[in-house]
Amino acid sequence: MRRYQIFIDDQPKWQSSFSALNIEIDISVSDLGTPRGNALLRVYGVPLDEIKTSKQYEGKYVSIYGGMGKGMPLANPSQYGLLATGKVHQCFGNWSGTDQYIEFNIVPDDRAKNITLEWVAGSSLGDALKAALSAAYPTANITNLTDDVKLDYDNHGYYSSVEALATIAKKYNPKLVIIKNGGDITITDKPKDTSKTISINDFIGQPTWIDANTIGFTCVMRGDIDLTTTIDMTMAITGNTQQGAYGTQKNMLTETGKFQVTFVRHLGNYRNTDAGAWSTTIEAVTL
Amino acid sequence: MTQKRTFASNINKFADQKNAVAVEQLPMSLPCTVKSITGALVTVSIDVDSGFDLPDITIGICGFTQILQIPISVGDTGLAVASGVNLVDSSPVLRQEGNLCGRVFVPISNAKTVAKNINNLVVTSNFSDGSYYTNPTLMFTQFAAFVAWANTHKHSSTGTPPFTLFAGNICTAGA
Repeated sequence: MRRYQIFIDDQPKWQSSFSALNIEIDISVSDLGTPRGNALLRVYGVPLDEIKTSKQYEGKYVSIYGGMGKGMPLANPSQYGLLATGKVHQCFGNWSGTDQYIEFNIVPDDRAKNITLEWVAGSSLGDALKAALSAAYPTANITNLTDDVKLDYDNHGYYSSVEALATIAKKYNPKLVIIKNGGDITITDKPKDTSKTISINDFIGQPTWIDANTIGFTCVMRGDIDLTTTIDMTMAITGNTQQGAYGTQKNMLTETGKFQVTFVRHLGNYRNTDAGAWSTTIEAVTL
Repeated sequence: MTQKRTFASNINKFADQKNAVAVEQLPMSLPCTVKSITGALVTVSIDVDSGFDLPDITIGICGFTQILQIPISVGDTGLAVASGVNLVDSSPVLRQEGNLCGRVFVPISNAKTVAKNINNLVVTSNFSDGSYYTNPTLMFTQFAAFVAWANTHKHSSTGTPPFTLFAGNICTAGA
């Protein structure tokens, strides 16, 4: 059984059941240095009063949980989890034909502005980023897990967005990512210690190599996989479908082992019967 | 059905935003004021109304080398000229640094700078070779004393003052 729960300002609002409303979600989860667009949530079948007052949700925090609940043999409830949390940037209702729905445009948070990086000679990049982000997000809980990158000269800068700050930081530490999840910001350059298994049952289609050392695949919706999660694909017996591969390579096993997740996209259409309509697309790099 | 804006307008907006980020990451040369001097480096505050809380930066001085070193005083105005790569460290790397890094102080005048005399090289500080120093005021007073002595002294052989006087030709500034 597909399962979802949507909280608005930590209050449960909609959730899956036999009579649940249909929802559509398209949530891209990436680090702040690699923006992939805002998240979309659309809730169908809402009454007209809800459509009329949809503006009430703007500025509120939305948490979307998804995955599979108990039910069919292959459904694995342990894969259910938080897909994304963010702030409603826009919310509007629509009544078109027989469709009545409200649509949420969700952003990670207010866009931080006027960020000043004071990276003093001899201090670590992670600490300098933490200080800069503390000023930009005064209420955020910021964790720095990076290995130290230190310079013997001052390297200050000013940036209008976290995106600009994060892309500069990557020039000194290519693995460094800044991840914002609700009120938590993590600066890290390491994969998470705990690994999640992608079993062959979970795949929708074939994994493919999409870039140097980067693999992309689609699987059943996984709320338990987040950025920097380590995924274990040792059990996957899948072919190499890279376009340029020789015929013999296509029949070989693809790279198995451990990968670090760099990008997650959750796509969902609760009432659509297609497997791909409740799925997660993941990009990950080899470890 | 939900496509409210055309692809063309979206892709243009996207390009504008990406470009704005890339341009901001490049350093701009910015006006500054000297706050302190340490060795051959000055610490300057950036004098722009930006909305950012810009930190003071410690940078080298243009025209300040082993053989020619210009005097700088606290409060001097100038331009923190951007090079894009680190200049303070001895081994710069060709990569994009923070946009306040890689600068050099170039002293410049502004409307508040008092012009002493535009036709003269004006030096109000000392000349030095590192061991000894002098300055125009000292040189002029000492030279005036020398001129006075030259024109009034008596020769030991004859006991008479000089037949012709030495003018010295010390001019007042601007002449």
